[in-house]
Amino acid sequence: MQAERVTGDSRRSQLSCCGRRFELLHADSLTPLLRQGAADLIYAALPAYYDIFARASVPVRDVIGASLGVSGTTLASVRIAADVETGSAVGAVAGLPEDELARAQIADLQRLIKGAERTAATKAQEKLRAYSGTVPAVSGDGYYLARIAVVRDWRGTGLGDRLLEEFQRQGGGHTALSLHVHQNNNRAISFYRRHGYEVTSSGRAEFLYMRRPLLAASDG
Amino acid sequence: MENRLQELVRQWLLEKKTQHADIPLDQDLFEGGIIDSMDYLDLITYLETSIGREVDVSIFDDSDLGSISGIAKQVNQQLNAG
Repeated sequence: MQAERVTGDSRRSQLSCCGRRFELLHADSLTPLLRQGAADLIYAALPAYYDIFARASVPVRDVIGASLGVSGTTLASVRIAADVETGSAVGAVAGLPEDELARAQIADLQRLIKGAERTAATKAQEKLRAYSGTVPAVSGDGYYLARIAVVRDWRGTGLGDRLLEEFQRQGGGHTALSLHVHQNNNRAISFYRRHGYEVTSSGRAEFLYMRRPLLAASDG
Repeated sequence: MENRLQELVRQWLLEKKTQHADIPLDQDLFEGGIIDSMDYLDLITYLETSIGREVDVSIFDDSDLGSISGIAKQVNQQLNAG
């Protein structure tokens, strides 16, 4: 399902999916309401991770909102889809080079942990260590899908395809595109397979590592 | 100050990763699983407490992220930057 570009410039572009219009926005174009909505979306896309901090009384949504577009974090290159009619955040996507992932994840953790009381932070770190053990290592040379999210009401409209295409456009100069997905998320796995991704991880990790090789000359 | 920071990293290794306290200055601590990202954050917190200043990992250089010398150098750069 191909999105149709309606209008656009380098900072914001208006597109259409199934007759519904949305804008794709950079983080610096977000209103406070959109920033909050985007933070809610991103939280909901990765609850097992963010809940660890929420239980440590960290204002997670505020930290996510404040991290959107911040250089050095996993959300530096985030793009937010906003419903043109309602003005609400309906989708989000963020990617980064795999060789920047370790530092960006630590920077994310630093921002999240700073909001926690010391004992709670230590407990959160223990839980995070257990969580990270469920995620296969990345190969290091690809462009990594850090977050993707679509609100329920917009699922099946092609917005997810459009957001993944935006991620793939950003990562076009790399040798491969990559992502992690939970092994039980069959809908997402099918979605990624449809876009050319294949599982390359092995073993019994809870999350799967999927990659799509890129041929720089032929892939846009 | 950079040497002092290297010593602090070694002190942290001595306390938390006893068997790796003598590794070379330029060895990547992530390689071979000596530390993970949570250890790294713990190390940065240790350095922050020791020097009385906050350190921002988001502006670290990815190519020099994991070694004792790299960590000391980048923290020192932030201290010098004010």
